[in-house]
Amino acid sequence: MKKCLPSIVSAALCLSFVMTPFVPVAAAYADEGSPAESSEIYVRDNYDEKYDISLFERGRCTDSYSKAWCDSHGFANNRTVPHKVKLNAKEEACLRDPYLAGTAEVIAGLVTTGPGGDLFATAMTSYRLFTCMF
Amino acid sequence: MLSQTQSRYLTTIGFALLALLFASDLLLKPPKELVSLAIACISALYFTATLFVGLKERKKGAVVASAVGVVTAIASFFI
Repeated sequence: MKKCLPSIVSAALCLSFVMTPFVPVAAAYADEGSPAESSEIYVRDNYDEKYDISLFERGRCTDSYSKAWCDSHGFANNRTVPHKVKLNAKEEACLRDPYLAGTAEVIAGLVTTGPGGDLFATAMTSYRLFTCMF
Repeated sequence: MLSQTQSRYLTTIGFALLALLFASDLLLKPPKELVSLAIACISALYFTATLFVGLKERKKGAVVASAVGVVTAIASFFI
């Protein structure tokens, strides 16, 4: 039995490595559900037909793909697709501030008052970003 | 970098101001623009203080960095 154990462990490890790439695919298929389930449309209570997307509803399938593609790939309910999405004007404006002013302030804080000043500037920049976004 | 005592003093005041603003933001719920303005003011105030301390201690690096900080804090209104 002792001689077999390493072989069993190796086989199990090999199998897990080989099967790993297929797990997300299997999960995606499992998520699709039966046709009866997929006919149910999941939308938030504040869903707006005028396509006014809130920050938390970004990345729905039809934002990036055609309706036909979404229907044929298990996104008939227009749920969100995990991929990079384009920022809107407000988000870009909010991010520009930390990129430019925030970075400069963090460096200035570090140079003037050391790690404490660096931490203070980082907290200030984060708070500013939070206020701008939400 | 400024002396350790001065740095600690300034950082404590800065954090206290930021905490005060955060508390008043949670309790009083002022308009967002006002909060952003207050953050920029705290930033400008902090770097102005470091600028003066840097001038007093005659530390060129700290003075330049503070000047950059002040300019950035003011510019962040307009970015």
